[in-house]
Amino acid sequence: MNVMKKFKEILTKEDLVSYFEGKKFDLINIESSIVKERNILEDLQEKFKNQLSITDKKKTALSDAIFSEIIYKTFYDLDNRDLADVRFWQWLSLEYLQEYIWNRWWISKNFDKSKSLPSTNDEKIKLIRSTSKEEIDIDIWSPITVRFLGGTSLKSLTSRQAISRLFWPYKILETTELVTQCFEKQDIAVAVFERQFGLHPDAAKAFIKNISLKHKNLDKKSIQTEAKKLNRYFATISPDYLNQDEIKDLLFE
Amino acid sequence: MSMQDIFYPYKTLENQIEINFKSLNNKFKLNNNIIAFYEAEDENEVNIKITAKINNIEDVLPETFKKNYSECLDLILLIKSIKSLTRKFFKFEKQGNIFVLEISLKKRDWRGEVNILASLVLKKKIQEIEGYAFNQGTQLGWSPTYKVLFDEPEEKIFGEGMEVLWESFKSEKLYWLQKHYYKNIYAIDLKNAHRKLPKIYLNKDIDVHLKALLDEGSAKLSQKNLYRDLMFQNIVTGVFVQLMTHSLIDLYSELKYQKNMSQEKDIAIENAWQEIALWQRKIIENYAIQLSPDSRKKDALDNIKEKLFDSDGDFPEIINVVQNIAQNNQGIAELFTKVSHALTRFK
Repeated sequence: MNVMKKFKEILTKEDLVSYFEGKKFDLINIESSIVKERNILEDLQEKFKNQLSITDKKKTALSDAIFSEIIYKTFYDLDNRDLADVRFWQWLSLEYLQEYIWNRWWISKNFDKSKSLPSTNDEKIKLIRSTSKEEIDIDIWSPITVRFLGGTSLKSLTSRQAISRLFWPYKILETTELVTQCFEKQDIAVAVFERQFGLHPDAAKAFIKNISLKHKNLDKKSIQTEAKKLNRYFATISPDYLNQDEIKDLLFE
Repeated sequence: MSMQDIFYPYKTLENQIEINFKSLNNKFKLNNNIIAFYEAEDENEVNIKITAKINNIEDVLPETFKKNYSECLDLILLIKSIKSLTRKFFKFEKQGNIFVLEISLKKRDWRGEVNILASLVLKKKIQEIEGYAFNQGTQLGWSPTYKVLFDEPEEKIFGEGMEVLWESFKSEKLYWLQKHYYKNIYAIDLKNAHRKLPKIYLNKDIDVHLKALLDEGSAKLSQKNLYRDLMFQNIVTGVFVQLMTHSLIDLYSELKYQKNMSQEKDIAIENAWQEIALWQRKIIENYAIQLSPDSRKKDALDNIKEKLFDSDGDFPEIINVVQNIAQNNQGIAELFTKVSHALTRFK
């Protein structure tokens, strides 16, 4: 039996530094009664490692859909209550999938600057936190911290936390084809899953299926404009009441 | 005129939809429109029966459609939970004049706060007539929002003040005060400030006379009480300045962080705002017009967020006036004057 865990408390940015300094945080079992096969987490690590080894380090983002399918198929049967718990994703990220996160969110963003993976915890701490040189000392946190920690806003699990952002789009979109379309152009994933309508499966599916029909070149500005337009409709229209075709009509109106 | 009339460019119900929201499990009682599911141990679901009656329902439709209004209107129940990353809807069944629905919410599907409300919607697209909604799914009326809390709220929300506790500043519990600050009179605990409203500690080890004075609850005008009020004023100002400064620093830092993520400005600002604690949002919101005194009242908060997002130079400027806002609002001048008059008189 392999019991899934989560941190007892949500880790903060300061906690992340403490984690890399070696502090052990209390863990508790997740609530789902699903019993996982032995070594499921080691298998998951192995799958990620294998996929990383055949991925161009400059373009890890292009493999998001593949990682999304792996993570979804590993955890799809857990209770929604656990899947929506950031503590579970923080634990999974830090204990099992750190290498992927550093590759996806550090190396691929800094490839041109010949940066390498941080190999020690000291290097990791230096990368995630620095201090501003202004009159008032303010900690400057690297954007990678949100990839480990998520946050408290709506988008933290669907679009920010490095592992849950792979899981949730698959759960909402349900097919590999749509997930591939969604991650092929990252602006689509951001436009849909940073907005509330992204939680409505028919709205998310309709947007992703039809955006490329309306804008063949899928430029960032058009994607953002269409997402904003749909969002405006949903200020007065209930997306829950509409099916995909009806939402498509709004997109093309 | 209903609230929605201001915001919606079409006719909506004059009044809120009145619903009867009843838990079918005896263990759960509705209190201020809230069912605290987390308080009941060993329960896995809550069953709820909702009934609704809508007066003058046809008023939201143009004349032509009024007669057969039920062909054009549906009452739905919207269930949304950001924490659960889930939204659902159910259609009410019409039984005579009453709309009826029973739902079951399972603990395994939800986290945190689940918001539930009934909404009247347009069933199909109808002929476009000015002043009336015509798009399918358009919302035409709303009930009050009911909540089911599957987890204890992380923060106190409204109407509760800060907790003030007497503690020894030499104790292990307040370890950060032990070495250098054990003689202080008060302290604010900001350790979990990102999640919870901070606590104020008063030092149990202070001089007995001072402790007695701070404990004095009398409102009578006397020299003793004036001295006490002066001391309280000092504490209140210190606490306010620290809470406001802490909140602004957190917001500024979060805005910079979100800016680094290179995303759309409005999304970045909204994200940063949602990332800081509820009490921090409240304190900035409540004093927004004073933090940005040249703004119109309704724009003040947005102006502060944008200023902090757009320019690093505006941060010291905003932080600079926190002390002045404290003086404006905490009645310092009035109390100081009162004390000076009293001292002159008592001499």
